[in-house]
Amino acid sequence: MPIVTTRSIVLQTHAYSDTSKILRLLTMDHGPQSVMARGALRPRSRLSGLLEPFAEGAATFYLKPDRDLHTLSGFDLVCERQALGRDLKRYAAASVLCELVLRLAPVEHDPELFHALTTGLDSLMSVEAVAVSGTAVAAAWTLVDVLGFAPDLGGCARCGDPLVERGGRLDVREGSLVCDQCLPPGAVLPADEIRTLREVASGQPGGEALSSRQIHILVEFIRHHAAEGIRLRSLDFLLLEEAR
Amino acid sequence: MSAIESLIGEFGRLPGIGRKTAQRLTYHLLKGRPEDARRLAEAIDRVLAEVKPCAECGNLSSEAPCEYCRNSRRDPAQVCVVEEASDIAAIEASGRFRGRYHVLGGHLSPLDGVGPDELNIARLLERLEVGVSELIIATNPSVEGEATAAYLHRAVSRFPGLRVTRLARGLPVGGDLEYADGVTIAEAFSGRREM
Repeated sequence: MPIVTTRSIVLQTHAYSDTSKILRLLTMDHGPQSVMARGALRPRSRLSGLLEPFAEGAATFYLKPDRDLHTLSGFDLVCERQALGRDLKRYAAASVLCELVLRLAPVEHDPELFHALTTGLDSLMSVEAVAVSGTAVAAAWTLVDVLGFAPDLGGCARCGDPLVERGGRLDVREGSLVCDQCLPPGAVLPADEIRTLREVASGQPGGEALSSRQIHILVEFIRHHAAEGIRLRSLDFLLLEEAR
Repeated sequence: MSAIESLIGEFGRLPGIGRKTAQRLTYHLLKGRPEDARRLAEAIDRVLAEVKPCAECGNLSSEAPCEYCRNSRRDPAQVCVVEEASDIAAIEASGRFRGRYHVLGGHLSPLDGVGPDELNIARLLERLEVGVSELIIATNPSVEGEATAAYLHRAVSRFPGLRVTRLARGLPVGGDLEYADGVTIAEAFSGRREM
């Protein structure tokens, strides 16, 4: 049973018994892992304030190859992100990023995914209030890209129109853009919304408020293309916050 | 499934009880006096039949309204919001609070599908319409507890005269600074006060 120390982000926590916690971690070297933090809920535990969602640190645990739950022995904090909980939109957005990783991350380690998640969470901590939604959507698209589900936003998948002047729609099932000439009747994104979609999908949030339509596109895309029909609960929460 | 296996299974579903402890509890009951086991079964039956959430505050009680809502010596102008009914016992043990309570039934957690509609917030807003001057938010000092507090703070902003306070965070009494974690020390610094 080797003891390993690896950079980790706390994705989700659950209380276990009166004194312990079960954590879902994204680790740099061992992919997603579940660990039991015994005694972490005791008031005088040296882990009590550290093992909170979105926190990042060097986790030390006993890695048992044939087990799903390992035992945490230490967590050296690198970055706490408690402040995300004090702003509901940032909290919802950070939850979206963590839920994406929880649902879709492969079992193998992926340093690029780890980096994308830390970058996304850090951006949510520092960005101006008006740009939180845009930052959240851009960070989520970046994760979708790293996870291998990125849409093709190059031009109309049917006629090849570059969709610079013309409106169109992201065909969620095909994972590509279709222009307004090739589309069946329905809602069309104007050219400027397609430009915004391309920007956020390439991880560039811009500094202004994002239309809720862009969040809906992300919701639908993730549901149909990445999460196999499952609706991410945290995305619903973000939409609710966006509507306020 | 045998009766023994069934009871082990039921004990094992309780929080913090693994299969081994469930087995120990089962055999302890079987080895003990039958009336002890029956008393336990009756106590479980009774609690299920009699205990209900208080319609006023959401606290679990066998009386309606609960002992805190009924007690005329408690100050109705102060309402302390907690996540779970079990938090009330901890606050009561301090002997410092003489107001009334409101139990949310959890905290906001998008990952677990818990949004505002899943919590006992609508009733809280109704209670604030009459005679409440201070709302003390005593949700846990966790990320989820903070988010729940932020939501409540925003939700009650439509009550202009209402004082909204949050329990302080920091070092535990009797604790040792050397062994406190970094987050707790940082919070203690943020919340330091004039002497």
